Amino acid sequence: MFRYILRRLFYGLLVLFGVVTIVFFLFNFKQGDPSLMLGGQNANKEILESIRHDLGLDLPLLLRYGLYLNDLSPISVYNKNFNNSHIYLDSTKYSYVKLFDWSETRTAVLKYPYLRRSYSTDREVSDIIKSTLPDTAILAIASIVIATILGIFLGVFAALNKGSFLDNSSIVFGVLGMSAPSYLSGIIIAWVGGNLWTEVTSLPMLPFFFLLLGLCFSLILNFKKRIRSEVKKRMQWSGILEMTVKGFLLGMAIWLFGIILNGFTGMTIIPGVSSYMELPGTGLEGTGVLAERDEWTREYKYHWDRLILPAITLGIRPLAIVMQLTRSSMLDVMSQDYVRTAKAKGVSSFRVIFKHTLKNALNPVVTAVSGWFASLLAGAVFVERVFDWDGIGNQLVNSVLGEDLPVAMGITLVIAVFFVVINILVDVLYGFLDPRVRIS
Amino acid sequence: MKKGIKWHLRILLILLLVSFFAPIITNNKPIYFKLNDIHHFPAFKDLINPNHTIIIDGRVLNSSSDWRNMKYQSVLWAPLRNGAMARDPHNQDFQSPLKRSVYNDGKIKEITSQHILGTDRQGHDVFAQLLSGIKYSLMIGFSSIILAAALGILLGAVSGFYQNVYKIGKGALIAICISLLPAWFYGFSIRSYAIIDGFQENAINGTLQILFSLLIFVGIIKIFTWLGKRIDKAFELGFINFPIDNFITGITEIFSSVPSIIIVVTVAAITGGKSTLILIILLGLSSWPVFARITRGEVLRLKGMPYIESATALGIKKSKIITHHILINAMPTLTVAIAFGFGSVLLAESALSFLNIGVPDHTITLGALLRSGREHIQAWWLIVFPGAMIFLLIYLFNQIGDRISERSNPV
Amino acid sequence: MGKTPLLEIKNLVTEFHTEDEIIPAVNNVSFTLHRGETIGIVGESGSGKSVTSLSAMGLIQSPPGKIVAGNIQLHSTSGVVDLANLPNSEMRKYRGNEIAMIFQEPMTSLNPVYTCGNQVVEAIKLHQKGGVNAKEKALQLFREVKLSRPNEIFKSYPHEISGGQKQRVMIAMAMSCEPSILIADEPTTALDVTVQKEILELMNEMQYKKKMGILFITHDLGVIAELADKVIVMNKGRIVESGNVLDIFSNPQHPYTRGLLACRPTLKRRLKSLPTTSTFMTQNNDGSIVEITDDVQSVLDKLELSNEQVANRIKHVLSQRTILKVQDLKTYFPINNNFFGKPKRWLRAVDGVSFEVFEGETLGLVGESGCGKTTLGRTILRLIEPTSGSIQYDGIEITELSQSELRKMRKNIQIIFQDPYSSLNPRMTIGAAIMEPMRVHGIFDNDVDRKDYVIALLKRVSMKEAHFYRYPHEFSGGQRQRICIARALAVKPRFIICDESVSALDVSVQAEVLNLLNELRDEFGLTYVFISHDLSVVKYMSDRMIVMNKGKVEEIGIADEIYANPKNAYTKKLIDSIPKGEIEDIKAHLKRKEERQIVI
Repeated sequence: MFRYILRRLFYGLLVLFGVVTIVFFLFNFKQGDPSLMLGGQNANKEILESIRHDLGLDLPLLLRYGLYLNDLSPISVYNKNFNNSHIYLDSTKYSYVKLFDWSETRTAVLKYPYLRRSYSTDREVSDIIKSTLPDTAILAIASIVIATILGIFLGVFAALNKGSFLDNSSIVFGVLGMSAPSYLSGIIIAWVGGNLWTEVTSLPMLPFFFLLLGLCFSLILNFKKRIRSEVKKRMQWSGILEMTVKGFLLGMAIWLFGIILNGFTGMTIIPGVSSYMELPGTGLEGTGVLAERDEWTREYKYHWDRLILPAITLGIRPLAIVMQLTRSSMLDVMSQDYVRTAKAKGVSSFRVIFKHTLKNALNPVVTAVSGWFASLLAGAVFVERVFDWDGIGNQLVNSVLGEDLPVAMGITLVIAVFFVVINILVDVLYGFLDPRVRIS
Repeated sequence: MKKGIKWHLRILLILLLVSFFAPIITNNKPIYFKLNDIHHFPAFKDLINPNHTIIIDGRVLNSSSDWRNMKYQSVLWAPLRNGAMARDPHNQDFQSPLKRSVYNDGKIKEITSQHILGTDRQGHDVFAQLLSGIKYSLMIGFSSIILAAALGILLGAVSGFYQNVYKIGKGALIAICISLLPAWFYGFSIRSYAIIDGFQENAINGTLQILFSLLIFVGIIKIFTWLGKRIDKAFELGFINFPIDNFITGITEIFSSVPSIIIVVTVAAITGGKSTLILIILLGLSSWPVFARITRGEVLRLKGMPYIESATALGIKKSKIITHHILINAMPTLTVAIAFGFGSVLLAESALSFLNIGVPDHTITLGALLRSGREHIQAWWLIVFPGAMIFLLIYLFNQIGDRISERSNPV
Repeated sequence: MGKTPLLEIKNLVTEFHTEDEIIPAVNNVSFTLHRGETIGIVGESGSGKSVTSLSAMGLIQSPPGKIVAGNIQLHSTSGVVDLANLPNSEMRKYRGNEIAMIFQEPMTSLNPVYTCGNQVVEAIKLHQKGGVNAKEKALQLFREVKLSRPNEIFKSYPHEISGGQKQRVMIAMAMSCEPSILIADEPTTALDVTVQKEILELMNEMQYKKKMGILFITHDLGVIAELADKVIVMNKGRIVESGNVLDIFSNPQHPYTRGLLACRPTLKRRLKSLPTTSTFMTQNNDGSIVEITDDVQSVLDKLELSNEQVANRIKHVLSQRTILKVQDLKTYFPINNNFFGKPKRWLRAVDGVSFEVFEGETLGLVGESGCGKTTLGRTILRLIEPTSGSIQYDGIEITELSQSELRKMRKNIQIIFQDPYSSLNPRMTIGAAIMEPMRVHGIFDNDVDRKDYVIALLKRVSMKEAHFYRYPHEFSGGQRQRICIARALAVKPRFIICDESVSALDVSVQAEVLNLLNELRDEFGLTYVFISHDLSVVKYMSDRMIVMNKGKVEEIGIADEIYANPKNAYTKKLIDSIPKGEIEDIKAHLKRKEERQIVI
């Protein structure tokens, strides 16, 4: 197992190297000229020339590739004397630990990968990524959690009641979720959840969220009951309605309580209870920043309610996929011999489903979920754009539109690293889920 | 429970036909008119080139000309009289489809001139734009999926069939390595200006130039390989094993580690020049790993089937085994992959035009319509109709894929 | 001992409802299983024997399956219940507790993600209320089913242990709650004969210990003879005959039973050809049966070859020239590869094998699974590249041929595979599949001649001209194997390797195909290498035979002599393990059973 992980890591490193190569050449095969942007309108020819020289744009492509690799690699070689060189050791660039002297003029250092600086703001790319990545990560995690939990439950449910009304509607939902582009569903959800909901009910997001929560819980409970009793019952619509209403009322209560409490104390004791919802693209003003800094108190204020709509939007596609996969893989596993053996032992249906079937059926789901987590970072581009969420995807589009090469390159690399790392994690996780994999 | 795909294919065919013949169905130009005893067919010419112009009496007429108020000897109008490129100055600023279109004197227009799906800010007819958007989407989809499938299936089949036991003569290998340099030099390096010139003229010319370059490239490599083989035979240099499977799967993994949409977004933006051809190539190049992986898996599975073994035992050639016995049986799976791939390419294309990246300006696409709708959310018809159409297209391809896969493995 | 009924099945009808039709899988089946009794249900595929047992367990997949009529009465300690009309939750109390079941495929019948011990413990905990140390009991059971190293097996996952061990775990699991009835659905079919013998002995022993009633379902009459008291013969969902095991074997009443009994290749005699079910009966269009002959023995006597004929044949064969000569052949497979595809460890599938094949003979190749016999067959054809050694066909060294020379060579040597379902390309018509190699090898100048020849071949293997344009999925297993034979013959080969060619077929179909192969050998002057795991089939077919084990040749010689007088310990063990199904064996097993009962 250990050797296997080691091999996987080595392989992952090779893939990363390939990714860096491809990304570099894709971004550089056509030479853009950022000197105009950096120099400003009034720059004369010499200034432009010197900017180009500073950025190393006058060097041949292969040399630039080597320099970029040198910047990325944790152990790299720098020139300490010759300050006209592109590999001049400049302590303003980044902090480093000196390892040993390579030769008289060159020295090897240990440092974090250096992603260079933004053309437009001159901030370090790693800083930009550090400030935007958490928002995207929170968004992606929230939506993948929603998608996984709900998707597995609904998928199991649909498989157990093959051919029923709920099975068919889950298939329909799966197809809809698969086919709807995220920016389209984003606009619609933003409009319904942000604009319509607020305009019609004049209520904030929290009750809306609890309403959805109540709906999900009631579905899950209903489904559990149906498995336990083993008698084919009709869906208890009245129960579901009741639960939904209860969820809504609970949300309302919490919100009111929070408003009163916050009002009395003048502090944010219960987060996410701002009294109105602001959304872009809905005709309403506002931003999609999760943590907003108060100009006066210099404290971060978290708007958790802003997470709800983007997370739902981003979660729709993975939810549909997880649900469909769980369903088909459950159906497949349920016809296996060992499930028959378990039944022949006299195991109860509930146990057959959750002990013997689900663990086997989850393998493809795990792959899908993990694969999706990585592509959610990529897919967040559109959702973040629609909701103006200040994440890595929005940053990418902005930098691409502003031709800010280092930022776009850095973000692409970070996303690729996520892909590779997650792939390795999945392979290891596979080993734990399925003992058969451990050998090979 | 087997469900047919007949209806899906029919709807798709109808969409294809309608969008292709859109200039005849709805156009502000007449289908036929006679002026100065010359017969003109401007709407038909739109089928090939919507930017064409007609010169009459020294006046240059294009899409935005006032065709309605001209005097004709005889004329035949299209069933609906709004063009995709034409602005209607009397119905600007987001006219709802529920409101009757008017002339500038406030008189209500005849029913054939009604903007049945409303207008946008500049007064473009949404219905006509929708149709040409479909055409653009389908065209992009078809061309890039063909590119991706061809590349992916070829690489996948090679890596699956030969696995890691591709034996190649030492001489041949060295010859191939040596040949790459002159092949690149004569094929692309010195011809780069010819290619760029070709593309500046038009897309077809550019494609031909690229094909010619490829021909030179492959030809030079072939000659060197042949020489290498001769050398192998003459000196009995022996074989070395080239791990072609590890090589190709490695490349596939590298490419699939960078999300395709990000490659497309960034590269399309950085290349600056917004060109449909570059978009097609990018979409195609970024979606081939899926095909390679699927083809490789299928080939590996089928290779173990006894009928492939018996075909070998019967003395049938390897190339024929790959095409006649393996790929034919892999067809259902590949069709499914193509259908799903089509869906995702459409998605990517509409997303790009939604972000206004990569797609040439002034090209009418579904995503661009949606973008203008997002900026003015009260104009619901700019969201609902293009959104529904994108959804329908992706839905159709997903369903076709789904149902073919359901048919080919009966549970 | 008094006869206590345990399970009474009365007029059971189970149907499968598909979209187009209703298929009655079990039609009006009745029988009673008593305590301490073993009932063997015999039938070919599709006879409804498995569906009967699954109906009793309530494990029919529904939909499409459904018990339409009849009762399944279980006499449990708490009274009589009708399992056919029991809701699922009630049924669960009896499953595992009163009726336990062992399935055919030990490979897939255990849940791959849990350890063997875990699964047995689960079964124990389900039905035992408190106070029992489940792990202790599981280990105790593992010892009872004679698993070596029970502690290790307890912690192993199913894929880590062998097929025989898995089946023992299955038996332990079935025994865990001391059921009164054990249903065994082809429990030994997927196992090697030597393992099969051990498992059968174990089942016999368990029965005496626990006083169970066993319902033993199999297609193999030989196995039945080793352990059953009563036999039920099923065909097309109906019981055709039932009775005492000795009566059925010595004096079968129904012509179908006679056919089944006679068409098994016997080990004792050498027959000219095998009788088939059609020797004994024909079926009219309306399904009624017309009897032809009535006596098994007289039919067999008529077909038996005299000693003189056998001796002449051997003499003739040995005098022929050598057509294939294999010397010190080795085929190794890499097990572990490093990153660049270089192997680190090897599996020695064929490890230094040498033999000769004479023109016109049939050389049998027998061995258990994993002994390298299939690899050997494929290596001779160079479908798998040999690691070292030489293969000479007609003086030509096959190992040194280039790819294109090898392709031409393939015309002479052909192979017929085991699985008739997957050895035909599903997207090619029968005609196209047979004509394709003919075109490659330039047999006949034009397609018209080729087609004529193909049709003639199809007719020769008892297929019809109309089948030329059909696709493989329209045919049964036996028909497909005939098509494969015709395809191999189409390129006019002189040498054919039959790799388990009849193993996937029912016994009656197997007999027909074997007869066909023998006829074709004489007609076309072919030479066979006949590979099989079934010693009785190999002995029937071959003049000389090779016994293989772990990649090496254990014994080589005249087939009859090896059988009569095995020199090698492994060969002896192999021959002893075969369930022969002779009357004497039945008598011996019944006597053993009686003796044990007296002891108890």
